[in-house]
Amino acid sequence: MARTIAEIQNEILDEKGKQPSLNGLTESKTSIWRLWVNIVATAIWIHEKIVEKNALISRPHTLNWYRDQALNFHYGLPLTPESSNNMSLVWKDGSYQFDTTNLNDDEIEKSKIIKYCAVSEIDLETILTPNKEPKEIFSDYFHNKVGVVFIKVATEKDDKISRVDVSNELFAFKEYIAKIKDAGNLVYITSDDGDILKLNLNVYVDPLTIKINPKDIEYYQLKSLSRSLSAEETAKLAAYGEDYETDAVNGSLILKPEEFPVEDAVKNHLKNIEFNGAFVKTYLVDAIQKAEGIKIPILKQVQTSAAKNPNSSEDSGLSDVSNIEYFIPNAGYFDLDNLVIDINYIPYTFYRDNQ
Amino acid sequence: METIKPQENQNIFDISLQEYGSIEKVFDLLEDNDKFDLTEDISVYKELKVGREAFKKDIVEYYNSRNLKPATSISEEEQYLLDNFSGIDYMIIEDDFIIY
Repeated sequence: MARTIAEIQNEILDEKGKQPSLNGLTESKTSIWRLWVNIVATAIWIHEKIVEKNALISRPHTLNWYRDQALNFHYGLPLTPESSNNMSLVWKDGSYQFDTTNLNDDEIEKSKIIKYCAVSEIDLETILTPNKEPKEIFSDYFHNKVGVVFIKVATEKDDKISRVDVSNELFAFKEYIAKIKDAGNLVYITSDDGDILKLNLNVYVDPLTIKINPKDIEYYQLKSLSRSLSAEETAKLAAYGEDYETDAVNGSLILKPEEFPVEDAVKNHLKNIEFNGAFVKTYLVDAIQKAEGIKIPILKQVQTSAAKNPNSSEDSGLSDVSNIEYFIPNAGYFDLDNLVIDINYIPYTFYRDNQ
Repeated sequence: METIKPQENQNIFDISLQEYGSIEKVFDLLEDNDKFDLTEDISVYKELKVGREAFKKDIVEYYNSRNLKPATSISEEEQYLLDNFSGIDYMIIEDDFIIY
């Protein structure tokens, strides 16, 4: 915070008081030397204000700065198929800015296509070996001391989080970052479809609140067992066949048949994980626990994989991550449309067993 | 925020003095008008946004009650006179006024 003119002036006057050789000066309030003190103080004040303002608008290029810049990316309408971005980047006031003249606020807001962005600094090795299994990360340790600025972005389409269109938008965005970044920095930008997630749950539910078709109960119970089944049980389960269809109403609320508390809780939880936030098993269980009529939710199996690359024909297989307490989805988010939740509903009837 | 039109020969400091009673508001004034440059001339045709709280109310009152408008920027004639250092008044005998 810059000092006021009066403060600077007082400091000069204090300093003047310490100099005995200046005692001879007149004490008049309108003396010429007081006027000079005022002029010098004003000059120093203006200098301080300018320095302050410069410090305010010049920002160090931290990870947060990269994030702000990414979110501030404007994508214009292509004039011709060849031009990827017709909104020109102009050098103004010491930084690159988008030329938004002739655009109203709505149009400017609409041209900001990057809605989600996560920036981190990762080891170069991580990029060189892309198809790694997800694993728990404790801290970013730079193995070879070569850090890369890693930017994950996503946009919103039809109110759903989605990847940035690769051919035009992502290309323009990469050009933009290349222009504004610090010289010599390595910046790696990705935007992928949401990760595939497959959950396998055993849920003990209150049979008074949640509907379960009685014919499915034994099937669910057999499937939920984690111990190795006896010969008799195996035969029973096999009798149901591979493509046994459970009743579609299973898991819905008795009073509101259109609501499925467990599935809704899972979807809601996944939706509310912040972009590039970790999927934490315990948090998911906590979220399901809070749903109506749920007694004991048990997360049996978690499988995940990065979304299939549209250019590659092969499907990257699901990898079992049940033993990992938390992991960060590759794309930064999960594809909720392709979410598979396999739930075994078991009525919570322990109070009877104890009798 | 209200707007005012500057008078002839007023600069941004004069406006700050006239509206807020001190030049210490000059940076706020710049900010309100999306300007960055202190030394840029202001135009009599372009309105300036003002309307923050005065820094020194008594001085604003003084200017208002006497209908004074400070205008301290250099006029074109003054600039012309400053730029052309020539003629009898500006020459010094035996320095740049030498008779051979």
